[in-house]
Amino acid sequence: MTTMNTETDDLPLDFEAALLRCAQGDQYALRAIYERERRWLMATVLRIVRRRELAEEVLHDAFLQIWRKAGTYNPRLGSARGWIYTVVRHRALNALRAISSSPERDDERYEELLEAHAAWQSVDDSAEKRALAQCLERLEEQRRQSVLLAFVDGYSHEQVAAQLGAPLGTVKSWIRRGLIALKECLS
Amino acid sequence: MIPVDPVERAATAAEYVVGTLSSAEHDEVALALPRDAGLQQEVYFWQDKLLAMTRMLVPVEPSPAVWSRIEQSLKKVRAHRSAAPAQPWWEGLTFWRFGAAFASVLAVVLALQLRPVDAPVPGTRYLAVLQSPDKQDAGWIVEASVGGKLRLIPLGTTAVAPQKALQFWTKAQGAGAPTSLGLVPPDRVTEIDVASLPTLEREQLFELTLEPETGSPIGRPTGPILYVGRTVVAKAN
Repeated sequence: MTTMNTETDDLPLDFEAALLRCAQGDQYALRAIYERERRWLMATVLRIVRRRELAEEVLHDAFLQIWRKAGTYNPRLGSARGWIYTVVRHRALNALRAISSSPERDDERYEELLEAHAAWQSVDDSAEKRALAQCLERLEEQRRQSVLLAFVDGYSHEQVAAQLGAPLGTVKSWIRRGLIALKECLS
Repeated sequence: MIPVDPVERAATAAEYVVGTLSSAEHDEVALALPRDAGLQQEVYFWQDKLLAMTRMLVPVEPSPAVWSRIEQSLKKVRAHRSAAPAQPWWEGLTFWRFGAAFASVLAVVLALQLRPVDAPVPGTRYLAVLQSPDKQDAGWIVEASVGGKLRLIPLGTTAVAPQKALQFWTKAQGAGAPTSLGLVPPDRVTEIDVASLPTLEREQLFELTLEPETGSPIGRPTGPILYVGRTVVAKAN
């Protein structure tokens, strides 16, 4: 279950061991996680909350939460990186929901997302990534776009509906049925 | 309501991870998670399967001030902790999350009078409840008296995969690395002379890790921690 990431030039880190050490009060372990993952986490948070200052505040709060909650991580169920991203993404979503005004369509941003998705698809790295990319590809287009908007941009149902110009109920079903189809494909 | 139907449950777990549940639904899942192993499994499944999507973005360097602020905040958290009056150890446990096995052990342990003691005196008894790192289940009890024996008592049978073994470790407060106390059977009481421990004191860490059949080859834990806990002083009535 050791996660070795070769996508950056940093040293590989055993995230599971590091997170368990955080649970035992080892601050160096938290630092190691931060050093290793900060740029990717920052990108994730910044994409969701859009403002740099707020993104850094979210990153700070999220790391304190990782520190406090590390004891609830169960290495038998999944990776530490997956767990860490959930903590950080949820923190970013909280911040976004707190500042969100009425949902607006932003085509430029949407184009960016579609381009990022296309570029990501063409990079051939881990087996997990390939499986996910292929399964996303198999989804109906609107379901796939809804899942992307919700995950990468952190959009709520209302925001996805505004962006895609579709009724709210339809979007809810696109996301939910999209995820169910994704699970079937990934399992 | 979290759906009962497995497909819908999985979808709710997925939406929880993605973040599209309403805040009431989100909180409901968050509250149910510690007690619902099946739901936890679904959530871990999704957070791992969707993880690769986080690599769609170009990395962004946060300003160096972010880590300094985290460090400052950690200091405050720690200062606050050490300034707080010593908390009875069971208050740190969210015991409503434990199974019946632990509840009965808790009852036994609570029947003993606990008191803080600074210097170890002969006959002082120490207890530790070893819990899984997620604090979902309590698997073992450590009981030891200064000048006597340490007993490692299983509350059930710990599942150990073939070609694997359980290794028992202890680490005193401030010690750099844990000391091995040897391999232990997963379903029986193990007794060790306290004299063979590096030390026996309050807040001493005991843990069981999953190691190769012949034990860790490097003298420190290499496998996952299965159960871990710290000692408290106990005085029997």
